[in-house]
Amino acid sequence: MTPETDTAKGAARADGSGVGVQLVGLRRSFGPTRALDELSIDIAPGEFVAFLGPSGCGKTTALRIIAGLDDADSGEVLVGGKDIRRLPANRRDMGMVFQAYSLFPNMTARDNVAFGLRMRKVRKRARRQKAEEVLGLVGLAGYADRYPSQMSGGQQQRVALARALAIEPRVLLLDEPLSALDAKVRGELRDEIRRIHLEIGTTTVFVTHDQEEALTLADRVAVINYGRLQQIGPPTEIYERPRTEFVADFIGLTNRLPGVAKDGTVAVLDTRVPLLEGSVESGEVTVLVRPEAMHVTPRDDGNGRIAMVSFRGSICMLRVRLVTDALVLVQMPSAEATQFSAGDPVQASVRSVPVLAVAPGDRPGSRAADVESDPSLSPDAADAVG
Amino acid sequence: MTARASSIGRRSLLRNVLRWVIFVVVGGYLLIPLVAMLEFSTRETPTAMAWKRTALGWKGIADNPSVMSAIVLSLELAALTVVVMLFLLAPTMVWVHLRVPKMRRVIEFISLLPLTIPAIVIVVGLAPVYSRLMPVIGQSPLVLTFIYVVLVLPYAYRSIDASLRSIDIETLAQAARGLGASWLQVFLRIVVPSIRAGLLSAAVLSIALVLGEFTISSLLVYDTLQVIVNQVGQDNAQVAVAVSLAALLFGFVLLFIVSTVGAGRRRAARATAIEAGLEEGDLYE
Repeated sequence: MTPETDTAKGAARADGSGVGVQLVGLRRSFGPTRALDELSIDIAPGEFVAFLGPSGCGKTTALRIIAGLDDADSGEVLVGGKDIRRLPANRRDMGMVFQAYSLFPNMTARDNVAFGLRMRKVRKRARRQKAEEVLGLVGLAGYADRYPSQMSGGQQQRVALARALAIEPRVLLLDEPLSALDAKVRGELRDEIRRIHLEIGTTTVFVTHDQEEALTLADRVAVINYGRLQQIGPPTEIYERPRTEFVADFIGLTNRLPGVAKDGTVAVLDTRVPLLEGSVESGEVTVLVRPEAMHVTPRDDGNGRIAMVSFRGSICMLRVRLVTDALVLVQMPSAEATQFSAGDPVQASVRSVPVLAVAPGDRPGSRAADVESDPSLSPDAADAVG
Repeated sequence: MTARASSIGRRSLLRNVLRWVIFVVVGGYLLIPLVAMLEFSTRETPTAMAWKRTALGWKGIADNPSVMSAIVLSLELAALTVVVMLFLLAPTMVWVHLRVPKMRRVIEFISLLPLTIPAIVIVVGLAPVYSRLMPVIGQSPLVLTFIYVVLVLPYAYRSIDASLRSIDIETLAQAARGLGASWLQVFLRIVVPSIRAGLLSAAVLSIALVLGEFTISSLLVYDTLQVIVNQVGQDNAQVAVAVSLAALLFGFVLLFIVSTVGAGRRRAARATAIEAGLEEGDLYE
């Protein structure tokens, strides 16, 4: 995962034709479960915003409320400055792509794409022309006469995207559209979505639980947990300057180290580093440090030993067992890491980058190290570091 | 090596023989009664087997006005039953699936209830209702439609329900709504074509059931096909058997049409997909 710069992504909005979307204090409960709890998000015209969070955090509920497929208990949904809560779904002019394959099985790709135009009483020739144009946009120019059962999952999702785009929606809503696809197709379609957004500039809301998708696609990422907005900002900010423990833990890998905070800084592993906004500012704390913010140097009387070196191409991940028995993960360029091997005594320290300090929790050690030791969790998380 | 090859060959031969034996036994079990009906209905002398054949029994169908009017009545009843059943059940089931899924169990229970109630009980229960309705709706035997709709509910429900469950109707409806479709357009343009096979199957089952129904129409003294077959059978068994066989064949033809329509679509989809170089797994991933 390499978060792109916000400036580069901001260019996408230059020719944007979308409208702004504001969610104001949205609340939604399902029985005793509160899916949305005063959720407020402001999306600029033409912006690509990803709602990111774990399963059940309320991100899909928020998207469905925007689409008109669900009603909020309270709060407002403003599109282009107008409250649309009373508008039924079929009059909201929003294009939506679902997680499940949702092509109409009785229609060809062309008819699927033209369906929204047909509902708008567009003439047959214009419908056909537009459908073929949009199918070309998603790279399926030759597939117009195929039925959904004659297409692969990736092709079906492309047609679903074309169908949503054909009506030139005010807002494009994407509800985990890539999660049912295999890794290769997912990567391809992700790039397509990005390219198409750059090309047409429609305001887009993308719901996902996959941080890699969110960080690589979106202009801004809204991290949601338990129906509440944890943080919203450009991917680099979310990654480098998390404001809550949840965001720091959920995005990428994090070492959890004990420290003492004082005067806007924290002493951790014999280093004093500045604190991020939202940190606990005094007393004993748990410091959340990214693997790439860690550093090791060879030292016989150091504070730990290398437990394992994992080669990852241009970078290496080093697991260091500290004298306190905690395990930390350190990321460094492979060229530098070649001098280390398992058992080497080292001095682990933290680079002078701002870190988040939270109240001491009951989770000693490192989430990064936990993830590393659990192969079933490692691929995505490891990518997230890379 | 040779011994192993011959053992495999023997097993394969045994399997083939077994397949044929099962095929012949099952085929015979199903076909022999039909062949016997055909044989009996075309005998020159009904009381004795003979090689000489006659079509008098079959011609008797056309010659007997009560048989012909019973056939027409039963076909009318079947058509009306299908129309009323589809009109009532399909929108209700779709609405329940989409908007009030909690009611699915209730609708299922109500729809399956007629299976557990004997026909005689239905008649006894409905006779007083009919006696009050007769002055309003008239004496036409087509009033049987109302009972038949109840009678076919369990079978029609099962067919439509299976079809609805085989597609993600909720997502399809939401997609259509998002694209600007009204609920009526969702129903007519998206749901009905998607569950066409289930609707067709419900219709065929209903037709078969109505054409074969005897108890209720007999107890309510309406001359439907089976009632007339029973009456004619007392005078001319050959005509009765010919009519029964014709009704059975009519049902088979309907079933064949339904299965051919479904299979044809699936075959065409698979063929185009294979032509396009897609693996079977890709299609259903």
